[in-house]
Amino acid sequence: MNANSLFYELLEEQVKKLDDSIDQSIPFHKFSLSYRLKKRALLKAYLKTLNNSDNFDRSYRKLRFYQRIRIALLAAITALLLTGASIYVTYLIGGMKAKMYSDHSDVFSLDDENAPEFIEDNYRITYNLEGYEHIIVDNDEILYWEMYENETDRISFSFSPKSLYKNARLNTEFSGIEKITINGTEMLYFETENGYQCLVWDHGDYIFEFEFTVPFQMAEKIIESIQKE
Amino acid sequence: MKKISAVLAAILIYSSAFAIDTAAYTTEENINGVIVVDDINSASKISRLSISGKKATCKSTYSDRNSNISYVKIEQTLEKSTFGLFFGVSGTNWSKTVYSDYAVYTNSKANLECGTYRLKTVFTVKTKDGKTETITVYSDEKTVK
Repeated sequence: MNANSLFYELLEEQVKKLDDSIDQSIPFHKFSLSYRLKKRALLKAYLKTLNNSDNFDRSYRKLRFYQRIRIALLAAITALLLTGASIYVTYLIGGMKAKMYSDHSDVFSLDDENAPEFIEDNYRITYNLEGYEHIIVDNDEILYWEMYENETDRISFSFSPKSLYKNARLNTEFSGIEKITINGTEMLYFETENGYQCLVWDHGDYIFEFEFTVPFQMAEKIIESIQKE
Repeated sequence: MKKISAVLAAILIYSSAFAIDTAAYTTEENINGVIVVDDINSASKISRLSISGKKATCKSTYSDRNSNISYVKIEQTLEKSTFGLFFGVSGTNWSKTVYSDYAVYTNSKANLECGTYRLKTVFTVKTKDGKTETITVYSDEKTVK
C-alpha cells in the first residue's frame, strides 16, 4: 500500500467515525402556517403550469382567497374611517326607532303607511295650568305646538303626523335614552344637561312631544290630561 | 400582498391621524372671532317636509330651554334628487333669525316637478358667551308624482 492509499483509508475511517457520532434522526420541526400555505401555492402553481412554464410566476403570485378577504377587510375599515362612520345603538320604543350616537340621537317614526299626512284631530292639554302664560307657537296642518310658561318653568307640547317625524335630532348626550311607560304608553325619555326633560311617544297617527321643567309627577298628570277635542 | 397590506395600513394610520387633526381644528377654529364647537345642548331639531300634490311645505323646528341662547338662525333649502344626488331647488333658500330658545320656520314651494325631494335645514345657534353651534338636519325624502 502506498502512502496515498493509506491516507485515503485513514481519512475514510475518520469520516466514518464522525458520521457515526452524529444523531441520524431528523429533528421534529413545525413549519409555520405561512410557510405551509406558500409551499402549497408553489406546488399548485408548478403543477398548473407544468406544460407552460412562462405562466408560473403569474400563477404563483395570484392572490389567494384568504388574502383577498384580508384586503377587503382592510379596505372596508379604511373606508369607514375616511367617511367618518360612527357607531350607534338602536332603540325600539313604541312605534319609534332611535339611533343613539355618543352626542345625539336620530329618531324615526315607524309604521306610518296608514297614518294621515296632515293633522286631522286636535289634541290639547286639559290640566289646569292657571298662572302660566299660554303661547301657541304653531298651529297648522302639519304641526301643533303650544307652550305654558311662568317665571321659572316651561311646559311644551306638540304633535305632528307620524310620516313627518323622521330623522329628528335629539340631544341625548347627557342622559342617553330611557324607555319609560306612562298610562300604559311606551315613551322615549331624555334630559338635557341644563335640566330640560323631554318625552316623545307614538300616539297612533301622530308623534307627541312633551318637554318640561316642572317636577316629573306633575308632568305625568299633565300628559294624562291630554285629550282629543 | 404585503405591499397592498402596507399601503392600506398606511392609509388607515394617516386617516386616523387626520381625524384627530380635524377635531382639533374644529374646536379651535375661529369664524369672525366666534369659537366653533359641536352640539350646544339644544334639546331637539327637526326638519319636516310635507308634499301635497305639487306643493311642498317645509317646516323646521328648534326647541330648547336655555337662557344663554342669543339667537337661533334657521336656513332652509329644498333639495331635489338627480341621479341619486341632491341639489337645491331654485328659489328655495330661506333664512330666519329668532332671538329665543325655541323657533319654528315654515315655507312652501308650489308647482314642483316630479321627483324626490328633501328639506335641508341648517340650525346655527349662538350663545351669549360667544359659542356657536351649527347642525344640519335633513327631512325624510318625499316624492312628487
